[in-house]
Parts: sequence; C-alpha cells; structure tokens
Amino acid sequence: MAGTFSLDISEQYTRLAHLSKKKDKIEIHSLGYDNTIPNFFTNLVEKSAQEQSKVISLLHNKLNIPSTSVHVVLPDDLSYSQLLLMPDLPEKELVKSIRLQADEFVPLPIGDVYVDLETIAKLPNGKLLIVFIAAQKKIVDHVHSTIEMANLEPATLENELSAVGRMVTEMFTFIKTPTLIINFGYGGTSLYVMNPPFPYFQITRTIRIGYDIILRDLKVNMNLGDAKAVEALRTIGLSANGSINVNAIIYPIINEFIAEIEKTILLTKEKYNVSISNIYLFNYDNHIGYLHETIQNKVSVPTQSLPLSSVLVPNTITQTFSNILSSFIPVIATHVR
Amino acid sequence: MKKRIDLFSQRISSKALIDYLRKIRTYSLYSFVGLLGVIVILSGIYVYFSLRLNNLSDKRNTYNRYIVLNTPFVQDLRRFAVKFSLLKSMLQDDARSYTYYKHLITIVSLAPTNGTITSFKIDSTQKTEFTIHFASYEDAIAFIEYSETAAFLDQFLNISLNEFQISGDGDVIYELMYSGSFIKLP
Repeated sequence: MAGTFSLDISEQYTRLAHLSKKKDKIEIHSLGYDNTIPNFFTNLVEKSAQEQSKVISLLHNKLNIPSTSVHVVLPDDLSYSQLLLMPDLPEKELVKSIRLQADEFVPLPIGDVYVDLETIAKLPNGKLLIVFIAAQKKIVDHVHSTIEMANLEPATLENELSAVGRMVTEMFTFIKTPTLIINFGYGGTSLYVMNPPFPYFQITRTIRIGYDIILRDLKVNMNLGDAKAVEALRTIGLSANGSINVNAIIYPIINEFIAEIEKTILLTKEKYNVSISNIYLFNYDNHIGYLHETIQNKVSVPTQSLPLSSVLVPNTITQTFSNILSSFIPVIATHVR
Repeated sequence: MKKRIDLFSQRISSKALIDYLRKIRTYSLYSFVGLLGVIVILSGIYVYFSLRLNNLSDKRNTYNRYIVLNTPFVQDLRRFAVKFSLLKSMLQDDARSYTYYKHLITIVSLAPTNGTITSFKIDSTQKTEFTIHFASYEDAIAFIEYSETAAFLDQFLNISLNEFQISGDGDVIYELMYSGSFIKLP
C-alpha cells in the first residue's frame, strides 16, 4: 500500500489520500482535495481530461506523495452495482452466468460497459455472495487517460460501494447491530444495510437524490451564486435559526430523502425482521448543516457520520480534517485493498 | 490473494495488447533498420571484394601472358640448371685423373731409368694405384731406389710398393705395382 496512493474523482471534488495500514488502524500520511473541473464526467473529451489531469497532478505534487501508482474510486451514481447470491459454481461458470444476466443490472448495452465481480463470502446456506460492479467504458477510459496525462499509473478502479463495503466489513468490526450506512453522494445516494453476522451489506439501494440536486434547488430558488449556496448549505443547512431560511427551500427534497431512508428501514424490517439501530452517513453529509440531527429526529434512529476516526491513527492530518473526515471515506477505503 | 474489483483490469488487457503491438512495431522498425544496415554493409563488402577480385584477375592474366611469353626462356633456364647441377656433381666426384696421370708421368720421367706406365687408377680422394713396366731388372731396381728418394716420396702422402712381378715368355718384363695417395694438387 505504501507504494500506491488513492484518488476519488467525484463530480464536485477530487480527493487524494496516501496512507498505510498498521494492524487494525490506518495511518494517514497525506490527505487533500480540490474541485473537480466542471463537466468532467459529462464532457468526455481530451480537453477535460487534460484540465482534470492538471488538478490531479498539482494536488499530487502539493501533497508530496512519493508513489505514482494510484487506486481510483468512482462515485456510485456513475456506476452500477448489484449484490448477488449465486450457487457455488466454479469461477469460470460463475462469471459466464453472471455476464449472461448482466443486462438485468445495467441499463446499457453490455458492450458499452466494463464489468467486474468479486466473491465476498460463502454463506452458511452454501451460496456465494457476489458483488457485481459495472461502469461505462467511455467513463473508465476517460478516467484512465486523465490519470495517464497526470503522469501517474492507474492501478485499479472500483466504485464507492465496493471500496466502502470492503473497509466496513474488514475494519468496522464494532458494528454489531443492524445499521444503515448512507453514502450521501453528489449525484445520488446509496443506502447500504449492514446486518451482522451477515458478512457484507445485506441490502443496497440507490436513489437519485444527492448533494447536487439540493444545491441546485437552493441556488435557483434563493438566486445565490455557487460559493454562497455551498456556504449557506454547510453553515445553515437544515437549521431553523439561520440568516436565510434554507430549510424552507430544500425541505421538500430532504423530506423525500428521509422518506427513502424510512423506506429502506421498513424494507429491512420486512425482509429480515430486524430494526435498524444506527444510521451512519459519509461523503457529502457534512456539506449540509444539521442533516444528521434532522434525519435522527425524523426516523428516530441515532444518526452520525461514519466514525472513521475510530480506525485512524490520530495525527495532525486527522486533526486538520476532523470535521470533514467522512467525506474522505471512499478515497481512504479504496486505498485499503 | 483475493480478487478485488478492478474495472481497469479489462481495459488494461486491451492496453497490454496495444503496448504489445506497439512493441512489435518498434522492434520491426529496428529490425528493418538493422537489416538495411546489414544489407548495406554486405553490399559494401561485395563491391570491395568484386573490385579486388577483378584486380587480381587482371594481375593473373598479366602473369599468365608473361609466363606464356617466357616459356622458352624458362625451359632453357631449366636445362641450364639441370646441366649446372650435373656439372657440380661431376666436379665434386672428379678425380682429375688426367692431371694426376701427367703428374705421375713427370714423376716417372725424373727417374734415371725409363719405365712405362701400364696402368693407372685414381679416385676423388687422390688414392691411387699404378703399375710401371721395365725392360730390365736393373732398371726396375734403379726405379725402386729412385722411389725411395725425396723427389719421389714428396709427391705422395703415402706410397708403397705392393708387388714386384716378373712376367713374359720371350722378353721378360719387370712390373712394379704401387699404391698410395697423391698430395692434393692445387
């Protein structure tokens, strides 16, 4: 791991992490972020790759990261994920049969996507738990060429579900009760249900409500500029006591968001007859003030950011980023391979 | 090690193929340039040796013409060489018998009596045998006395009277047979 570093390119931020794993803890050597260039994932041309490569290169140099080999993580809303229960077949047959039914999970021609899968565990009932990940070829190729333009070596690419799922199951062993982990992303949100002793996420759902839609709603309705809207969301957010009433504007979307959370809790209850006892959020959760408190009040389940600091070796970097550490979870998770 | 998700993995395989093809292209280019270089060098060597061969061929023709022109002279030269070698061997084996015969005649003529040399043998080491006839016993004795003088003996390294014979039916002939070695004449 010391010979590599990790990179999270999302629509809003580009985040870099360089760390090493020490027993059950993670020691962060470097952590940094910058804005991703506008339309990096919608304008898949060489020019946008070049501009984004400059951002990555600058960040890499500023953080003085010695390694050039990079593990990359893509947002869930730019990829396709599916948890599968398959019979215990030989790997070749397994891959073959999953590829045959891949069109059920991916709303694109199968020739337009790169597909990969990982066998998570063999369950007590003899079936294999498999995570299936796919992403558009043109996005993967665009990311790949961007990294190469930054004079770095692309090592691996996965999505947030794959990276965070691995880290949570391997390092967050203190989660012993049914827990809902919410990846509040930029373009969408993923909801993962952990139900120990099940070895991985038991339910995963994706909804199209993310930070972006809330920010845009606020900008349009309050006629705010980018920076002001971001700042208003972060500092005032869902508080009733702000200088501007952000809550009144974004409340319908937040309500819808909370309704999705409740739906997931209900689904878990119906399917597995367990009640969610904790909700953990990460990614853009700290970009909306009082989001945790609002969710907690609405669904009556203790809600907080995913306690990343419990698996980190404390140092000046963790102190500096303590308020926004949960937004670095995907980039840290993809490094822990 | 457990296989992890890697969406680059499929892309990397196509990248590896592209890299492989690029390598083949590069190696082919280098091989072509190398081959071209080898061809140029071999052509240079071929031209050099062709010119050299032509040059040597011209020289060979010149020498052949020279040999043809000089064949009679060469034959004469060969004959001369054979003769010269024969002469050399003959001179090496020559006993110079005539010179020593004349020398013996001179020695005999200095004697107070007249004798006739009837046989004379000499080899290349000046080893000699000769026979002298005398008409009378006194002459033969006189010659024997003469042969004991320095005038006779100084002409030989060694000389001895081997036989003294008397022969003939009517006229008696006294025969002295000497053997020895002449002192080498210059």
